[in-house]
Amino acid sequence: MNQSNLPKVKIKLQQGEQSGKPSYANFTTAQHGQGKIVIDFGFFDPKLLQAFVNVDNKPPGVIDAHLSRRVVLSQKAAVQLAQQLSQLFTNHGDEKGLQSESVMTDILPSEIQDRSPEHGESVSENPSKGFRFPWFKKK
Amino acid sequence: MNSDPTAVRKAEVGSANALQVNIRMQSGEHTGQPIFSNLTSVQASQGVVVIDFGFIEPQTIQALGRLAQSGEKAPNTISAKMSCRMVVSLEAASQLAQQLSQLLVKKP
Repeated sequence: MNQSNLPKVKIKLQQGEQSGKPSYANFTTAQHGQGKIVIDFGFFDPKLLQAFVNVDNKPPGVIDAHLSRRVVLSQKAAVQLAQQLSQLFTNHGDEKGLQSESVMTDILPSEIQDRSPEHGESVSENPSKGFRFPWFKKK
Repeated sequence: MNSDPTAVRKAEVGSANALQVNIRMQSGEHTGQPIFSNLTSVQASQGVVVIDFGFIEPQTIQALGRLAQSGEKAPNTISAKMSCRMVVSLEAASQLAQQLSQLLVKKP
């Protein structure tokens, strides 16, 4: 189906009993597998990391974190999310200038390909996927 | 809470000022179950970024397509279910944008 022929509609997100409750995350990892993008939202205590550094003056080997949520996105939805986030930060130069902005791209029907959730996505160590602690500078 | 580590991730911090930290993520009773989404919405507010993950029924999408093909008027608004709402720090949101960009560029 040609996307240009599709009508543009507004999408109203209906919150469920649990889905409306926000979960907080201060780090993320993203990986792909079997045509899907798996995003893990995690939380670690920043004080824990700082304490390690203060004591040894070097970063800890391993810190424990909690998995807040694991979201599996279709390829198209992942592209959409990347564009939305990029747009959000581009509009404000950097994250410090970011105060209040909303970005929502209407999804087009042809953008939805597969909706079956993938349980048991393997999570393996991958050095190429990481995250940044902006407040951390190597000494 | 399941105490078994589900993952050990190696984090690369910075480029030149690289700091590597392994993070062992522990999944909770429900958090380990993946949530599928085919719709996202992003908004920033008060120093955090709120990401809504939603799901649109495929039948709805197909019906819209049929309406468009037949020339009939499509509804202005359709409903989708919210899969989950994440509130992430600005740093994490910025990092997620970079991760997705890298991932999507790499992937053919």
